[in-house]
Amino acid sequence: MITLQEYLTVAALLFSLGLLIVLFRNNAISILMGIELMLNAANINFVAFSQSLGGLAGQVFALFVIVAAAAEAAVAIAIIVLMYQNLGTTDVEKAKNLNG
Amino acid sequence: MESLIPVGLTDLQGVYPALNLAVAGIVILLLDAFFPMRSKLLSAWITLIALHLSFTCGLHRLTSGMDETFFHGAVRMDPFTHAFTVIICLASTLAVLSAPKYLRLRDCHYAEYYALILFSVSGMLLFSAAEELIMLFLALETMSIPVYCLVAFTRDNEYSTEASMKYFVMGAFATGFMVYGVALLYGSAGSGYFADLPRGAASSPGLFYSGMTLVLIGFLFKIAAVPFNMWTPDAYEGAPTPVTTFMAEAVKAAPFSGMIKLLIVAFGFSQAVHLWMPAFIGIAILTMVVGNMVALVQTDMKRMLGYSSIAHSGYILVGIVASVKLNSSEALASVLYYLFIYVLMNAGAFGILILFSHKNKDTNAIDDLVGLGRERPWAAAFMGIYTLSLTGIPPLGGFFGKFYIFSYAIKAGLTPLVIVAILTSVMSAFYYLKIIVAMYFREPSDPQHPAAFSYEGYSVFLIAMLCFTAFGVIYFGIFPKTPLTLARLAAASLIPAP
Amino acid sequence: MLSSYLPILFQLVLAGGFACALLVLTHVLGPRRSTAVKLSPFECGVDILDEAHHRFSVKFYLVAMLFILFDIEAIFFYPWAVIYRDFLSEGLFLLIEMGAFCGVLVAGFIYIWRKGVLEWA
Repeated sequence: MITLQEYLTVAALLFSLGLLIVLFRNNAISILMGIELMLNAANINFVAFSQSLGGLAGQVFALFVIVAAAAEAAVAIAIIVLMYQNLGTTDVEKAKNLNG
Repeated sequence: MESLIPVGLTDLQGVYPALNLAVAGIVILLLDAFFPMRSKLLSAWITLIALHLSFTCGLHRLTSGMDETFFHGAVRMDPFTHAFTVIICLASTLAVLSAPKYLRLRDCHYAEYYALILFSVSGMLLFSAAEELIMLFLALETMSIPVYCLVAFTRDNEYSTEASMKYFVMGAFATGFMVYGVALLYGSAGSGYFADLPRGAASSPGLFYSGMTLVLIGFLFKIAAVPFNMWTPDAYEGAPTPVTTFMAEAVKAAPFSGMIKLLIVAFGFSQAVHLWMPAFIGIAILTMVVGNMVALVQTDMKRMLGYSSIAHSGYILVGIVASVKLNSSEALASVLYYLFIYVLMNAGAFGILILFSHKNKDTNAIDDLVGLGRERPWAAAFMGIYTLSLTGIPPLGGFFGKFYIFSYAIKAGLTPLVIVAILTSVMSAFYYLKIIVAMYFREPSDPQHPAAFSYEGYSVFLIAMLCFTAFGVIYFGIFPKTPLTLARLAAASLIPAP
Repeated sequence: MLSSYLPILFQLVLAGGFACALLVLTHVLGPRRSTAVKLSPFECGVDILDEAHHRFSVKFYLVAMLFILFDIEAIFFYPWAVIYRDFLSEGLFLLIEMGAFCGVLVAGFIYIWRKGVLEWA
């Protein structure tokens, strides 16, 4: 039987992986994947908690997160395509017109 | 099993201000799909009418003191929510008024602009109403996703695209933190309702406090507090100016509303306060100091206003800390008043930039304003009012906003914080006055050919917006009674009188 | 309770073992006579024209993205369908609610249709 603790550990690992990807990768698509990983780590938590606490709130929450993540991804990919058209790169480090 | 009563029509009536905007957004999209030729100005009008309806509904509910819960308690429409409905609808109206001409100058006057604004605002209105974590998250996403699109709205402009990319990465990153935090909070309390959360602190404190930290970090990203502010100047500079206006007011005020409610309702018990309060004090100090210091060296107006908006977040944080420490609704009312005035003066300052924007080129550098006082005295006078108010010169609204917040902070025993706040306010005078000096006292570098200030961004909408904001900054500064009374009414619903 | 999964495990091992055994047997027993034609990537049909690593047109992305969005929205039908029967006594309200949800989706669909997103070429 898989315990709640184990689910939480996996989720925490996934979340840290996503975090590291966002922080250290430069490719916009990799960053997007990192963000998705963070959201899905949260989803694992929701479902695991829902299982151990009873009740459906956690599962419903996971559904909403999935939908929001899809909407976010759609917008993100549109922006990445735009970035490729306008700046000729999908590397966020190379986009330095705004001095920040 | 949770309660099994389906939501009904009364629930939908309860969230009327937000629902109205969402429906108007869909109507605009459909109109644009069928009548693409004539949908632009029509959409602007529909947007203004929809925002006006929500505004009056909010105002009416605020004055009548409506306080009810809907959707099984997930949404609570209390005077605090209504006050933010009013502030946010006002801020969005100002942003919409500034848009049509600017977008036409950029050849991207599409009806989608208005639809996106409406969708985003409908999310914001739920932000201040949410009393449940799912609702909070949905409101956050509904607010943020359209703004990512809006920042990239001038499609072939590379600055706009880059700004959008950076804003998206940071915004989504913050969302990631927040969702993970929400998951932990849910796990600790077994329920998403704010009122149930303190239970989680008792049963599994480890989960609860790490969840709380992550959620608050997510919020601090959204309000651009230092050290979570790196996206702000870039996003503000690169976005089309009307969108920057929208971001600097509405997109700024809404997360504050959600955060205040969460802090007081869910994290307002003493053990939690002992944890987040010192952190918030430190962050407020950092935010004020860094925001104002970096603003000093900026040469681009939009960037400078971006840093100044970071600094203003710091002042508002001071107000929040003071009102929680004093447990006083009066102090919280001063925060609401400050946000209200901040919306007016900031919108005005951006409006002037829009007024002088050219086809495919903005007038953003401070040097571009040299000689404005002589060439266009009216515009310069308006700009002067906004900058003086942002600095906090009496009798303008900005002064009283800061004054109330600082005096409550002193009452709360936060004297060191107030000293930093006042010192940084003085520092801010330098960069705000730089604008005034440029407008009135600097000679153009090439006296033979002084810069031509043509009102290329002129439109009746924009002039209405400028007049209203300038009037508001002066009038509500001298006669702060009406907004303050309403703000007290609103704050009292969140912090009941002892 | 794990013991109830034993037959499934047994079946898995059996199926996997059978597949592996067949692979090994054909390898060992089968005759091997390779010719140039046989070694080409496509033994029959037309010759390959160019490489597989193409850039896709952005159009594909657009359709794929819209597909994902409309596909994911279907998620909300599940919880609704699960509880629908329990609320039959409440009248038609639940049905109308789902109608409103579908209405919003259809509005989005009409929008992309009229905007010409679904037109190829």
